[in-house]
Amino acid sequence: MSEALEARYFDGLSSRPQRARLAIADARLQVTPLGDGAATPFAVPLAGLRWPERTRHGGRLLALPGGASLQAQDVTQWDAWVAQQVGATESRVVRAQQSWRGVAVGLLLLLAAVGAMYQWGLPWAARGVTALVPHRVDALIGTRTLAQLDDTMLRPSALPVADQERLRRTFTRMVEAAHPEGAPPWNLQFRQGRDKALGPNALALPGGTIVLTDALVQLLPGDDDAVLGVLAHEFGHVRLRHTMRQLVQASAVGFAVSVAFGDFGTLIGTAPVLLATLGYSRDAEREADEESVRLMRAAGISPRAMAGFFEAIERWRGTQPGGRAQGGSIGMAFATHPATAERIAFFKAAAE
Amino acid sequence: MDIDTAAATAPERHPVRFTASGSEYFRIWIVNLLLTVVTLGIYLPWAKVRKLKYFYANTWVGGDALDFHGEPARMLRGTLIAGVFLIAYLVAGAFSGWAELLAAVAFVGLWPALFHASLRFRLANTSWRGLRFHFAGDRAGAYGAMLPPLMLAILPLALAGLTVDPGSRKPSPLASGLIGFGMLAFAASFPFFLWKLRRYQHDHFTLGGLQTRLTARAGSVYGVFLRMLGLGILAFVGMALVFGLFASLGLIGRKAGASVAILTLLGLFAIGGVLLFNILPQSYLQVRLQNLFWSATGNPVLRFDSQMKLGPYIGLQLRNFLLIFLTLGLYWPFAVVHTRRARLEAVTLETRGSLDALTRTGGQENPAAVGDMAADLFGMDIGL
Repeated sequence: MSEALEARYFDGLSSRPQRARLAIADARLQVTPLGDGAATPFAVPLAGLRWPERTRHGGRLLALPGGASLQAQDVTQWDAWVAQQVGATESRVVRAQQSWRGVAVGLLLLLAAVGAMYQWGLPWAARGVTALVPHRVDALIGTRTLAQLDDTMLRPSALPVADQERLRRTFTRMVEAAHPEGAPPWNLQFRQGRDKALGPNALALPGGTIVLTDALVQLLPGDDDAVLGVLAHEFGHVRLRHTMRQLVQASAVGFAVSVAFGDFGTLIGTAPVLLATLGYSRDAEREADEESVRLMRAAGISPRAMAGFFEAIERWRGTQPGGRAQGGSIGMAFATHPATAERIAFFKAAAE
Repeated sequence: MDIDTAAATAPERHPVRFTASGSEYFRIWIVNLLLTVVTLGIYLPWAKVRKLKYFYANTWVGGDALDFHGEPARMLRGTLIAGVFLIAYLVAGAFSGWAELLAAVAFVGLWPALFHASLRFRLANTSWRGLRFHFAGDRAGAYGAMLPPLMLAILPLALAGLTVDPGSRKPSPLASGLIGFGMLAFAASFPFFLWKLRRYQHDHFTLGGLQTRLTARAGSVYGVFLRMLGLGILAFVGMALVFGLFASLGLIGRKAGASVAILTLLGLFAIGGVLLFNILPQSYLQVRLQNLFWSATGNPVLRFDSQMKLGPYIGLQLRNFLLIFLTLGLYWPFAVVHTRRARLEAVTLETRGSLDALTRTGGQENPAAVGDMAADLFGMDIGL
């Protein structure tokens, strides 16, 4: 193989291609334009050149300082010449992407990195970001959400005021016992669903409002312990600011997906966001269950009460049209919760 | 170049060729994603340059490939600015009232400037035969083309938000009417504004002193949209008929025992629904609008011709959709390459006169990258 390579040379001033001979000498690339009226030969230092990556069918274009450029006439010849004359021009990243083994390792590392981000990185960052958001914002969102729910799905409670007050007082003592150092503000609202299908339900709004449906209070008549357990669960959401955290996490996941699949299409991009959000909401339920156990223990209530509550919920659900598949449409939407059996086992274990 | 004599000769045709392969882009994509995740997004500009360089080096016009010249280190600054802007926007959007309105106003105010900056950056960093492209449109033109539709989309909502009675929290009839009217006006004028925007773009592509012009008329864009509407109605009626047929046969709506037959049917309906209401209208618009706009782009010396076929393109998109779904997203880069090939190889460049005779006119440009990175992060389509 000769030491010179012929290539197409463009001077950057006109679209007219010229033939040029390339050679390497003294760590410089020497370009000698050929033919009639050819430009004068010149040389550029090798150090500043970014050689094109090797691809199967792509062209090889090399930009020279000052706007001129070279293009391979024969790609195979060009690659061989560069390998022989210039040596290894490709970075480790490019070499990895050119071998299937490198890509397989990359895919595994990618899965591990995404998994780690999902499991630890994002929740950690979301906690940090949430801590920066003033509590006023939570309260604002909570007030607006409650107003919307009152307009659409809820109506005032029919529970006797005495019952409401008793639950409120007992739960206040319960929170004080578990958090003598002081707890975030909360307030308890009683409502009933406009539609019967809402059934026994509870939800925590950002800013500390806990909504309890009459049907939930009446699910186990005369048994306040289970209601207090549910309240403690919702209080867990309030204390850990789960709504805000999930808002932050959902935006971050959406952003990451749009970067990965940025070229086109939206229908497919929503699926991973939805899955991640569901996963995070299950984690939040687990954390709230732990808080519930903590409060019940502090108040001397056996966590077994919650196991009884879940069994009652299952019975109630069995009586509903549509059967077990149905979940509440807001708040404590049981479909998004960890499997009920798993939760019953958790509370039973906590009772021992 | 002498235009009079050039116009007298028959044009020379140069089909665009796209030689990228799905498996090769798959490898680039995986490595890019890994590095972007590990560096928490810092690698984004390097990933983008690698991707564009790959696509450009595989895009051949008249025997010569394109090249991309963006400097990742310089683009990093743009990425960071765009990222901060995006986060501020997301955060503000999550709050209520004034913050949301303010974010929307800032968004509307900056969008055309970013769009313009993005086009300038992308074209100034694209070369063919050693000559850089240039976007000759100015910022005022971008505002002129984009501000009216953006205002039309956002103003009624903002006004309605301000007139809400705090007591009832329900929008007043006036506000509801305003929103309804605004949405109608936006829908009716959308083809016109799309045409204005595309004209702003296609009127200002420049290479070596040759600027393109868009000769398509707004009426043709309305034609495309009306036909798509008709197609959508047909699809809807067809779907309703098939559904009604199955319902009357008692196959749907039978309680309990989710049999395999019903699940299969539902799956088929889901695929049919996606095909009819997502892939079909989207593909129809992409094919017809590309043919309309690109075939009407050029000047007396140099002219594009786009002859994309609808049938094969719909088939391709359906296959892409199913395979992406079945491979949990891993087919994505293959889909991107196949779609690009279908769109690029439908285009032919027709020239009257020699391709060798173009010469550089302006000096070297170096526009900032923030617009282009913002376009990426916000998913803005600059239509190149």
